[in-house]
Amino acid sequence: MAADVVIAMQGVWKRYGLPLPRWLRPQEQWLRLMGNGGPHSPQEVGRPWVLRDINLEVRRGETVAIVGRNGAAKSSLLKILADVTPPTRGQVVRRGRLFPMIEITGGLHQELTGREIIRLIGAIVGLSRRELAHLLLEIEEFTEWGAWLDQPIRTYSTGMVARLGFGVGACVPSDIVLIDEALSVGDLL
Amino acid sequence: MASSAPVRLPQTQTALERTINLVQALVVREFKGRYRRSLLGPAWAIIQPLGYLLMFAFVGHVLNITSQRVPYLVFTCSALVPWTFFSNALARCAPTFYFKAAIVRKIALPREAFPIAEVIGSLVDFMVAGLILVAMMAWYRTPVGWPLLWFPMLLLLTILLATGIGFVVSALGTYQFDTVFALPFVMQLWMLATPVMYSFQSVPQRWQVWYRLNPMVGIIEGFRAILVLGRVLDPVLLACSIGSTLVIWIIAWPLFRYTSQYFADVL
Repeated sequence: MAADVVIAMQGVWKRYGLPLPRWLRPQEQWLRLMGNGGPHSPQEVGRPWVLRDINLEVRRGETVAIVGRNGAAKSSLLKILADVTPPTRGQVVRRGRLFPMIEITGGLHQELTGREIIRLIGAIVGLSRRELAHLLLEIEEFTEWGAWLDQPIRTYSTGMVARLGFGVGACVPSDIVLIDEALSVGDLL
Repeated sequence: MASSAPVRLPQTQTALERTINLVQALVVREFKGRYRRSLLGPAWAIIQPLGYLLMFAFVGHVLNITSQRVPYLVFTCSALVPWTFFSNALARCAPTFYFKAAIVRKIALPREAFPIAEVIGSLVDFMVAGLILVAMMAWYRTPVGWPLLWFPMLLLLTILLATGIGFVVSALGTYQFDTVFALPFVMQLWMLATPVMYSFQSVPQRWQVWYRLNPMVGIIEGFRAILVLGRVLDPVLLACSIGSTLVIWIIAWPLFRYTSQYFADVL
C-alpha cells in the first residue's frame, strides 16, 4: 500500500444483524442438514447483503463523493469507514484521526450550553485536554458568538445549530473527514 | 507526498485514557443536563428512598420484623441507601444506548463508557441519599467504630457488581427493549430477596445456602454491619458476593464486548 493512502477498503461485505454463533441459528442448521447452503454459498440464510465486495482507496488530499440512489447503502459504507459498525467480511485500513461529521449535533442534550456541547463532542471524538482548550477558542472565533455559547442549545435556531456542528467539524484537527448529509442539518433529537 | 499535507497530530490517547475521558464527560453532561428543568433537582435522590423508608417503617411495624437491637429505621435505612444506588444504576444502564443512539450510531467510541458513566452518575445520587442515613444515625446516636474503614471496599464491590450487571442489561436493552420494561419488576423482586427490610439471620437455616448466592446479600449485610451494627463483615457472606461478582464479570464482559460491536446496526 502506498504511503499516502489514508483509507483502504478491501473486499468489504456487509449484512446487518448480530451474527450469532452457528448453534444459535436453527434455520441455517436445518438448511445445512437438507444439503444446501454452506457459509459462503449464495443460498446462505440471513438478511440481505447491503454491501457486496467493495474496494476503495483514498489518498491524502483527495476528496471523494459517494453517489447513489436512496437505500443504496451510502450511509452504511460511511458507518463502516467510521468504524461504527464492523464489516461482515473484508478489511478496512485507516491512517490518522478520523472525524465523522455526520449530523454531529444530533442526540446531544438540549439543556447543555454550546460550550458544554463542544466539550462533550471533544470527549466523544477523543481530543486531549489541550486540544480541547484550543478547539474552544477556535470555535469561538469561527462562530463569532461570544455570549451565545453559554446559552442552552435548545434556544438556538436551526441555522445556529448547523453552524455550531460545522464549526466543530472544521476546527477538530483530523486527517479524514466524513460528511453524510451534515449540511442538511435540522434533525436534532 | 503532497506538499500541502495538513499538520498531523500524534494520537496521544490510549484506549483507556479515552474511555476515562469519555466517562468523565458523560457523567458531567448527565449531572448538568439532568436537573436543569426540574424544580426539586437533586432532592429527587432523597425523595425516593425516603418514600420507601416510610413504607418500610410501616411494614416493619405491622410484621414486627426484628432488627437486632437497633432502631428499625436505622437498621433498614443502612441497607436501603446502598440498595437504591444499585437498583438505580441498573435502571439507568438498561436504556442508555437507546437514549444515546444518535451518538453511538455515528461515532466510533469505547462503548463501555456508557454503562460505566451511568453507574458513576448514580453514585452522585447515592451520596445525596447518604445524607438521610447520616442524619438518621446522628438522630439515634448510632455509635460508629473502626469497622467503618471497610466502607470504601464495600462501595467498590457494589460498583463493580453494578457495572458487571450493567453491561449485561445495557447490551440486552439495546437489542430488546423488553429488558427495560422488565427491569423495575425484577429489581423489586430482587430487593425482597435481599435483606433490606429484614436481617439475614431471619432467613431459615436451610435456605441460607441458596440465599447467599444472591451477590447483594453479602454487600447489603456488610453495609449494615459496618454502619449501624458496629461489626466487621461476615467473611463467608463477603466471599460469596465477591465470588458471584467475579462470575458475573466473566460472563458479562465478553458478552458486552461481542454484542456492542453491532449496537449501531440495531439502534
